[in-house]
Amino acid sequence: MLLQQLINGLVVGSIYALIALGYTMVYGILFFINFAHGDILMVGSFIGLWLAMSGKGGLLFVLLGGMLGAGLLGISIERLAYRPIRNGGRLSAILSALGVSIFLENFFIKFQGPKWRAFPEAVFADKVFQIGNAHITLMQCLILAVTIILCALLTYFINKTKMGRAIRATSEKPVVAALMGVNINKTITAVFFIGSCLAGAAGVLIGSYFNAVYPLMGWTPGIKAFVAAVLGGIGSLPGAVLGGFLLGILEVLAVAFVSSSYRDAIAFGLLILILLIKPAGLLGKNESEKV
Amino acid sequence: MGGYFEQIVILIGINLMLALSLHVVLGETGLFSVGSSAFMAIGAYVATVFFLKFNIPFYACILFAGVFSGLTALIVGIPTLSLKGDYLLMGTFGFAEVTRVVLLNMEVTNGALGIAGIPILSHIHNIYAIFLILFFVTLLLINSKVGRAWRAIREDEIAARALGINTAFYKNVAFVTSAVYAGVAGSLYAFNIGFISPGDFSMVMAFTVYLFIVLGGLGDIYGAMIATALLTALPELLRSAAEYRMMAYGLALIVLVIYFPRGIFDKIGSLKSKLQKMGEAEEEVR
Repeated sequence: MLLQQLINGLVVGSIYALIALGYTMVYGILFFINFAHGDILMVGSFIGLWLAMSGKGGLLFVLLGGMLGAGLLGISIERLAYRPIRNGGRLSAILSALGVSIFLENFFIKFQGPKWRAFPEAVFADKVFQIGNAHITLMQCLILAVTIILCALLTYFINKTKMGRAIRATSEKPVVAALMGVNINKTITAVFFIGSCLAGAAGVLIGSYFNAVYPLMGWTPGIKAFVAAVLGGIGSLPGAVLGGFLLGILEVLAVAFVSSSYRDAIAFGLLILILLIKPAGLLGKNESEKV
Repeated sequence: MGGYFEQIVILIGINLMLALSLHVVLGETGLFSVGSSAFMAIGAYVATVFFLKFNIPFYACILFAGVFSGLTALIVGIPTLSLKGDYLLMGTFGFAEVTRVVLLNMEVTNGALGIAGIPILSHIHNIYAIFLILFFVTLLLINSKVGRAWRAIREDEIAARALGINTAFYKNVAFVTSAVYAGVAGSLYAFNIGFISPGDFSMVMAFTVYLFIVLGGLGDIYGAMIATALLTALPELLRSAAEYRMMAYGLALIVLVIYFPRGIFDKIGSLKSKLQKMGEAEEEVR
């Protein structure tokens, strides 16, 4: 029973982790909470669904297509809605994100309908494995594997490549980074592309795991992942992954052993608790007050 | 007055109260709180439950709604108001979501089904009468010692503390005041629509009020009120676009924020001063 719950928690948590990475990367550089992130996930999920329906490629094709589509959308949103107000304060950025979110959701409601749609079964054929007295499905293995691979790739990219170094420098001190020859605009574009790709991957995975793709699907996982990012320390990449897994496991355990109707309250109660005890999050840097 | 037009005017009245509520906490004091949807929900539920279950008179229910929201804000505010900037936003966001989940699961609120059959008792005259009372109270507060403390905190909290202002106390005063306004607005909303459910008080609504305040020019109370009236009417003007209405609203939001980062009236004001300068320059040439 406990092992089964842990497996379910890890799977949900890994999806939260993928989404939380996008929030935290954008926050690390621009200090603004991208409230349209959940909707980018939704678009990624729809693109994955269309590719799967066309039946031309396998699993990898669907996943990469969803990621690429979401990534390109992320770049365009940054260019059109966020860049013009980059120096206009965080409030304007949040409001612009709200506008993007309203637009995307209603665009998809208009052209795809508000109903739930399911992935064709052939793409993610399901098999069940037995571990002790717990089950793990092929789909669940796939979600964990994709998350681990993407996290490994991201770690390599951030730590070993030139663009990764530029991203780290910009999140440390944008002005100095610019003086050292880092192209800030390019760096921000890269951050949005990567964050949105991860959201797209999460979208395809959620859409097929819960077998539901619909225009408002991004909201709940979006805000949960946001909680995960804060939990781990917003701005910190390992923190986002840790926060995602932690939140996923705690939620599943709470549903199993406490009550299912208060599932969402647990996530947000945790958010308030961590903010009161350690506002910078588990792995975040504590900053002292400056005059 | 036609029913449809009347409904828009009522909606504007309720939004004006919400804008006033956010103006106190964000515009005057500079606190990034997104708790208004929760306080509105608390006010709406307290008023309806008191009215339907305990047969308490309507205006007393409105009063109780404000008092209850204010008390909740006091309890929530003491620990959370020490959070800075974005962290306060996240904390109040968490509070709003917890409130929503609790309302969804409580028996007295009838869960996700909501409460129907609330008598329609709030109309244009009493909504605007209550709004005017709140507005004048706010003006009195702003022009008093309290208002000066708020603005000092907004400009520089550490400096305000160094000057001997009890910042924690005045932040809490702002938070509680704003919660009382939101609670009253919520109760009036409930008694106008006749039906409430937890889904009516969403985060999107809380951010829409942010839009009013920002486009009115942060800290400008009259600007905020005018922007609220204009922007509440905007989606209604787009009604001819029917199914494209919400898409257009989303786009309009982005465009407005991009072109008027300091509010609509700031741009008109700067245009005016530019014209004046040009006029003066011409006179000098003559």
